[in-house]
Amino acid sequence: MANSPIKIYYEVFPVLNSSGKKIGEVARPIIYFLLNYKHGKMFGPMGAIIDSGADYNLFPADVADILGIKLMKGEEKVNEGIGGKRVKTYRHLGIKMFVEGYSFNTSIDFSKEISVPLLGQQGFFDKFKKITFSRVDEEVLIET
Amino acid sequence: MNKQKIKGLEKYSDKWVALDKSKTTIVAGGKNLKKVLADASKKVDKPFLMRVPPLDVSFSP
Repeated sequence: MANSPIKIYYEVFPVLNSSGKKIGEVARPIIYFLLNYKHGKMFGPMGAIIDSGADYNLFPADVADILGIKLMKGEEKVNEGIGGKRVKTYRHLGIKMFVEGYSFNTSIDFSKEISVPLLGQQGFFDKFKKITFSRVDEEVLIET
Repeated sequence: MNKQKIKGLEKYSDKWVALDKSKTTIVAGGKNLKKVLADASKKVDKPFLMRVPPLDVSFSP
C-alpha cells in the first residue's frame, strides 16, 4: 500500500514598495523539516523554499554553524544565479533531513553570500517519487 | 486551500523569524539565527524557523 503523500501549503508573503508600504502579496512553496549532521543534535523545524530551478540544496552559512559544520571544510563549488551572479559555496555530506515521517541522507551547499534556504533537484527532488505543484490550490503534494 | 498568512511579517524583510506551532505568529526575529532560536525557545517549544526573503524586491532564486 502506497504511503499518503505529504501535503504542504504555499505561504503568503507581503510585497512592499520602497517606502515599506504593502502593495501586494506573493505565495511561495515553503516546507518545514528537521536536520542533523553526522547523527548530531537535531535542528529545526526550519523552512525552505522548494525550488525546482535550483540544481542543489543551497543554504545560508548560519545553518551550517548551528549544525556544527565547519563551513570551509566542505567541497568548494560555485553557484551561478539569476543575472549571472556567482557565489562561492561549500558542499557538505552527512546531513539527514526529516520531512514529516520520511527521512533521507542529503548534501547541502552552504554559502555566506546567500540568505534564503532553497531545496533543489539534487538532494531534495531526487529523494521523492513525485512532487506535484498545484498553483491553483496553492499546495504541493510530495510522494515518498 | 489553506493559505498561511504570518502576522506582522512586514517588519522582518530579509531576516530570520521564529514562529509558534500555528506557523502564523512570530515569536522572535532578527538577523542572527542563533539569537532568534534562543529567544524563541524561551517562549515556545520547538519554534519553526524561516528566513524571510527580501519583501521589497522580486525574489528569483
